[in-house]
Formats: sequence, C-alpha cells, structure tokens
Amino acid sequence: MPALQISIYASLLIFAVGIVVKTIKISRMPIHLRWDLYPIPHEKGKERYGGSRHEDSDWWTKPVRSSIAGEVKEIAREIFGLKTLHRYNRGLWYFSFPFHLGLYALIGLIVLLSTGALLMMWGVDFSADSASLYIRLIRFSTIVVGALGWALGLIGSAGLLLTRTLRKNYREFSSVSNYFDLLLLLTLFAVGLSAWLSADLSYDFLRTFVHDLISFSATGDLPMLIRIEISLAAIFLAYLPFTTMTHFVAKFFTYHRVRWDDSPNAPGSRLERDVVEALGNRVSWTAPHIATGKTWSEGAAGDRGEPGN
Amino acid sequence: MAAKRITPDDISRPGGQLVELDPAQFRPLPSPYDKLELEPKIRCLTREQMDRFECGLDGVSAVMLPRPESENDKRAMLEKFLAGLKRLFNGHDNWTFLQPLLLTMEYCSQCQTCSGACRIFEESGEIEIYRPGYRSGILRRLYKKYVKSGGKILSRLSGNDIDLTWNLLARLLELSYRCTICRRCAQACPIGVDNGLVTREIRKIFSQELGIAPKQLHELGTVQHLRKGSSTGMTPPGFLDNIEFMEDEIREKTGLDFKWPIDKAGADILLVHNAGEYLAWPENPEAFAIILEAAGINYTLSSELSGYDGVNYGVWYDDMQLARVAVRHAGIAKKLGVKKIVIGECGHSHKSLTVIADRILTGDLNVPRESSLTFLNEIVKSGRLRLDPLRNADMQVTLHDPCNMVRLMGIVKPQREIIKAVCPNFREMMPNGVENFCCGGGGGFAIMPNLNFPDWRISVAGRAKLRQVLDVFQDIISSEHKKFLCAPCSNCKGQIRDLFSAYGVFERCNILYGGLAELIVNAMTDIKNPFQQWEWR
Amino acid sequence: MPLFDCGSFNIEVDEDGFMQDTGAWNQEIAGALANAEGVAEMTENHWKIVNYLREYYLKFGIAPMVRKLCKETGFSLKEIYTMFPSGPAKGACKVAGLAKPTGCV
Repeated sequence: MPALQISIYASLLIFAVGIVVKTIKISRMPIHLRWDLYPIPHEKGKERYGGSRHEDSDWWTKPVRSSIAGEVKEIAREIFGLKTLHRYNRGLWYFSFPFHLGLYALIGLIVLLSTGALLMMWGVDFSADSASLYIRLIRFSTIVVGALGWALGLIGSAGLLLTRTLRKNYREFSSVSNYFDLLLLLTLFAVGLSAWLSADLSYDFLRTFVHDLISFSATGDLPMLIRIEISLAAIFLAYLPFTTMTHFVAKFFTYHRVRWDDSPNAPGSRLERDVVEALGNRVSWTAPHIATGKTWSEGAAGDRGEPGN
Repeated sequence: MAAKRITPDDISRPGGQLVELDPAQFRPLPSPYDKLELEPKIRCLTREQMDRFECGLDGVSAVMLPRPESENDKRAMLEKFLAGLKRLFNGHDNWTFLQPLLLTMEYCSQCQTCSGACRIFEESGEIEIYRPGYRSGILRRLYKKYVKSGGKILSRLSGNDIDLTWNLLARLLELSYRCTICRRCAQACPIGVDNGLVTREIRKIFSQELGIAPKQLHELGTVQHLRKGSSTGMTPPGFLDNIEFMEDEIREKTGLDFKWPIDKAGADILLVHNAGEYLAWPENPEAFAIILEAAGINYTLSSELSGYDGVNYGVWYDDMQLARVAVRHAGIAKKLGVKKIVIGECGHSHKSLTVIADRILTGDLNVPRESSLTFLNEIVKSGRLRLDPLRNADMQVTLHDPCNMVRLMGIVKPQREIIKAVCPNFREMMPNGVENFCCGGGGGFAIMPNLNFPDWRISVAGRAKLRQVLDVFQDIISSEHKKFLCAPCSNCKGQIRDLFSAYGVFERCNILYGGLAELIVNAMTDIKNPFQQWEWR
Repeated sequence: MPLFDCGSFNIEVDEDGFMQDTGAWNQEIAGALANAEGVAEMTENHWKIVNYLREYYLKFGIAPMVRKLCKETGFSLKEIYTMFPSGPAKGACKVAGLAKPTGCV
C-alpha cells in the first residue's frame, strides 16, 4: 500500500485519538465553583435580554424553565455565523467568517466525496456519464462545495494572516504557532485549489482515492499536486489535536460548563455529592491564613489557619 | 515623543516603571469635561514612597508591596510564587476554578476581541499593559514554561519564552489590580476564554501562597470581617447603636415610629446589608426598613458576628476566605431558621453568596438566597405600598447596572420595573443591562485607598462610567436640571461618590447618586415629607 | 512606617497620616495632627468633636456614623468641614487618633 495512503490512516488515527483524549481530559476536570456569565440562552423567556431565574422571587420553589432549543439556536448561530465575533470584532469577522465557512465547505466536500466513494463501492456507476439525476447532482454539488471551500478558505486565511502580520495589536501577541497554523492552512487551501483547477476538475482522482481508503485497496498513481494536497491534509489532521485550533472542543466546555452552567446545587442532588467530595480535598496552599493540610470543609468552617480553629 | 510599545517581554526587564501615565492621552470626555484642566491629577509617589514600595508597572501602587530587603528575600518569594503557580494548575489545590482557567490558558486564539470590550484598556488610550490579553499572556507564558512538562525547551522554541524575575513578580502583582473583573472581555470572547478570571487567579497565587493581598481586602477585609464582625470594623454593639440611631432618624424624618427586628426567632427572612451602608448611606437601610415595615414582611436583621455585614471580599482574591465568609453567613441564617436570605443592595455580596458559594454550601447550610431587587420588585408589584411616581417627577433618573448582579447573575428587569413604577422620567444609558460598563470600583477597587491608586481608579477605571452618565444626560447637562444616577450597590456608590467628587459632577452638573430603595420610599404617599434629600453624600 | 513629627517627639502613622497606635493618643498629638490637617487652632468646638469621636471609638471600636456625629455634637456637616477642611473621616477622625476607615464606606 502506498505511503500516502498509510499516512492518511495514521493521521486520521492521531486526529481521532487526540480529540477523544482531549475531550475526556477536559470533561474529567473537577467540578468548579459557579462562574455564570449572562446572557444564558437556556433561560426560557429571558435569554433575549440576559435575565435569569434570580429575577423570580422564591425561584427554588418553581419549576426550572430551561430550554434546550434556546441553546441549540445559540450554538448554531455561533458555529455558522460566528455570532460573538460578528458582534464584538467585525473587522476580524470579515476574514474569520469566510475562513470558517471554507473549512465547513471542505468538511462537506469530504462528506460528498465519501458518499460518491461508498456508492462506487456498492457498484453504482458514478462516472460523469451516469444517467441518474441524483448522481449528477452529487457530482455537481461536490464541485460547487469544493470550489467554495478552497476559495473561501484561501481568502479567509490570507486575510487572517495579513491581519496578524500587519496590525501591531495582533503581531505582538501572536505566537509562532499562530502563524504556523494559518500558514499551513493557507498552503493547504492554495494547493487544494490549484490541484482541483489543474488536474481534478471533476474530483474523480480524489473520489477514487477516498474509495481506496474506505475499501482498503491500494491506490494507483496520482498527479503530483494531488499527492501534495493529500500529504498536507494528513499533516494538518495529525497536527490539529495539539493546537488551539481544537477550540471547537474547548468551546463546548467554556460555554456549557462555565458560562452557561447555572445548575443550582439542589439538596440531595448528584451535584451536591460532587461538591461534598470536592470540599473533602486537602488544602496544600501555604499562606498563613490558609488551613494547610485540612480539608476545604474544615478550613471554611474556621476563620484562620492555626490549629484549633 | 512616541514611546516604544510595551510587549510581554518587557514585564521581566529590570529598571523603573514600564508606563508613564499622562491624562492627556486618555480618551477625552464629553462636555463639560472636554477640557484637560478639569481632569484630576494622578499623583506621583514621593521619592520616599518609591523607595519603600514596588511601583515598577505604571508608577501606581495599589498593593503597597514593600521592596524586599535582600536578594535572598526575593529568591524566597520567587520560589513561593513558583510553588503557587503549580498549585493553581492542580485539580486538588484549585478544584474551584481549574477547568475555566485551563481552558483559558490553552485555547486563546489571540484575536484581540477582548481588548475592544475592556473599558480600562480603551479609556486609557490603549495602554498596552492594560490589555486583557497582556495580563493573561504573561500567566500563559509562565504556565507553559514552568508548569507544563518540557515547557522550558518548548517555550524557547515557540518564541514565547519568559523569565520569572523579581521585576515580573512585582509588576504582575500590581497588574492583577488593574482589572475590575467585570468580565466584559469574557462576554466578548468568541471562544469563551475568560481573562477576568485570570486576574482573580493571579491574585490567588499571591494571597493563597505568599500571603500577599492589599490589606483592605485581607487583613482589614475578610479577616476583620470574620473576627470583629465587619470589614468596616463595626462590632455587634456598634451595629446595635447604629440601628438605634437610624430608628430615631426615621422617626424624626417621617414620623414613623417602629423598632427594627433584630435576631428575631421565627422570622421568614434574614435581610443582610453591606455594613458600609449603615455608615456611609444610612438612608438605604432606612428605606428598606420603612418598606418592609409598611409591607408587613416578617423579617429580621442579625447582630451576630459577621451577620450584619453581607460583604465577602474573598470573592476578589482568595477562595478560602470566600468560603469562610459564605459559610459564616449561611450558618447564621440556619441558626435563625429563616426560609431565605435576602441580600441588600450590594453587588459582590449578591454574586458571592447566591452564585459562587452555591457550590460551597451543602446540606442544611444551603439556605435559599434572593436578591433584594427581586424581592423589592415583588413588594412594589403586590400593591402593598401606596406609591405616587409623581413624587419623583422633579428629576431625570438613569440606572447603573452593577456587574455582579447583572452580567454575572442575570438580574436585569426587576430594578427597571421598580424604577418605572416610581419614577416618571427614566432614561437608559448605553450600553446597559448585561453589556453595561463597570463603575470602575469593582474587583475590590472601591475600598482600596492606597497611595495614588484612588487617582488611577477615578481617572482610568471610572472614566467609562463617567462618560456614560454625561452622555445620557448630555441634553440637560447644565446644573438647573436635577438628575439622579441610581446605583443599587454599595461598592458602585462608593466609586461613584469618589468619581463625582473628583470631577465635581454634583456641583457642575447637578447629578446626584443613590440607591434604589430610597426612590421607592420617596414615592410612598404615606410619608409626608420627601425622603430623598437633594444634598451631596 | 512613616513618622509624624509632633515637635518634641515622633509618632508612627500610616501612609495617609492616621495613627498606628491609637492608644498612644493624647492632646498634644491631636494638636500636632490638627495642624497638619490645616486646622489653625483647636477651639472648644474642635475639641467637642474630637472628644466625642474619641469616646465613641473607645466604646464601640469604630467611628460613629457621620450623621450621628453631627446630631450629637450639634454641628452641621458643613460646619465640620469648615473646622476640619479634610472632612469628618479624613480630618476629624485622624485628629482624634482613630484608625483609617475601612470597608465599603
């Protein structure tokens, strides 16, 4: 099996394991104190202006009016519209939005290529001559979605890279990896776009490559640009889990588990058990007022760190 | 002369202060403060003060950190700092905030969106060190180099190396007291990174490991609160004496003659004010007493140690002190057997007891807590008070949203519903609600009168609020119109008082400030004379 | 600690000139502190205020409410400001040897 194919398998594995490990690591962190930040979109009827149950007298005696739909809507706005960036940093949004849209389109391209590849595996005629309207529609969509992906990604990443380089505010706070990440993606988009234009307008090469990946069959010879494109994609996938670009994982937690986490500590709840457990941790901070060596519960019951308090 | 821009590398460098503050570079204010001569001065420290206290950040000293006597002292403190830094990233030592902190450390994309949301950075004329990302960038570099494995090599390779020097330590401590933790930056962050939290976490390293915190927060703050009964130094007998005085005052002012319920067994509600109200703005607790008496509420105040002061300064700098104060408050409510605690007009006391301490108070300590804004609104809506809004018609009213109650607790409508019910002329400042601007006294600032720090707090931290207030009243800014800024929070009131005094806002523009309950009482038709005194306080 | 010069001797004060050891207070110190606060001469009225503050402080460990100070001494806030230009808290309390006010006041 060609090295190119093996490298994609390897990078997919690294990507998947990396993301899973990262997700587990974050989710296993201890429970933290409440640190709500409003507006919270699941506060039914109050999400528009940022209200909460604390606006209602004796709220603890009333049923919780939480709306999952509100959260889903808000998350969709964030993912597909970069709502927060649009609101607070429009200048950057003009580049970041196409950049992300480009990435989503490329995910779409992979889905469409895989669909084609699967149909091929099942013996469906997926060539350009296919008489099926559906096949032709999928082929056409693949081209459109792919073109959008490359072009938007290229515009976006170039814009972001320029912003980071030219604007002092950004330059002085950017790390080497900030540049490297963007440069890697910019190259990937540029190579992808040229590979498509110069060698693979119908995506037949790439689709066949995906087919061979899925069916574990050795792939044939590919044009140079496509080989570079695939290599870059492999590098990107394997590198991604180790970068801040995994903020799509982090964001789930920063939003759901921090900003929007207003779950009250109801008596007898699981949350209360977790709190009791956390308060059982021994304190090892050493400032004089801290009850070093005692548990948090014991420390909190006194008014100083000395023994007997 | 254009000074060289400060970069994160500069924080470790030896030598004097990184930044010179020049009011001419701050964002200009609207009329009548569009003239530089009306700008209050930021005093320079005296030679002698500079010799004694670290002030190498911006020439301001909020913490009054004494300069160490020897290199050995410096080394010992650096070692402790490093130990504290490591504890901050350990799930046993810092379970309280590890998850949000690590997410903040690992996932910032440096998009600088937070800078635009930060009023201190913007109003200062974009002084680099006040950028939210500057502060968190320093902690991130320290974390990556000194806490993460392989950090020493990796940080050199990444170009984000940092040297933990004495200068860094001293400047970082001060820098953690240049942010009010209003968390507008976190609200604007597309990823959900929280640079306001970083401020508090840095303060925690210093307090929980090195025992360093501004003395008004710790020694005279939480410690005095727990041992003497109040961060104001008020003892239980002092509290009772004040209550007696306020009972007399109500009788003289309104003719109403009643006793305030103290330590009343069988009361439904424990009402806890910020004790600063009794000393500086007694009309506010007086207004509460009048309203609750008129509405026939079965409540009580507590004269127990700490039970008459609802503050919790731990919320600004130390998790253990935060927990201790919260447990003390809850224990008093438990002993009284009340059904709920109602928290007076104090923002940080709202947030600390209701929200943050929710995961500290378990079992029977978990007594329900409610905001006085919500509670007062219920009373106003119930019709139990006879109210005539025209009694407040002689002034234009605007509302300040205390960050702790609004952005950080979601209490937005009750205070507005109350004002609309009792004041015919209400106007909103922009932005408002959960996107409000901090008064500039948050994060403990309003109670830290050290050296020249109050000057900074007024000119830089308070600037956005002053601008908003001037803007909302710009069409009637001259002193012939009575204007009122309602700020339902003791800390905010303290800051607004100092801010208005420094700029002469009451004299020049006739804008007075005060709490919310007073406006209700001023509209009560059962009280003959106006309750609201149009005089500076 | 900064020292405050009382003429024949020094006392320890904090950064804002408040006495560190409030127990060491006496009339001579009060006179010197008053001078530094822009009080030309300690009149009977000045002493009335200072003595009241002192008494209250010794009894309750804290300065009285400003309004109570006015009521008990019979002076308006304005008059107090005339006598002690830096006001009741920063002026009169300092002269009376009280600690600097703390907390949300």
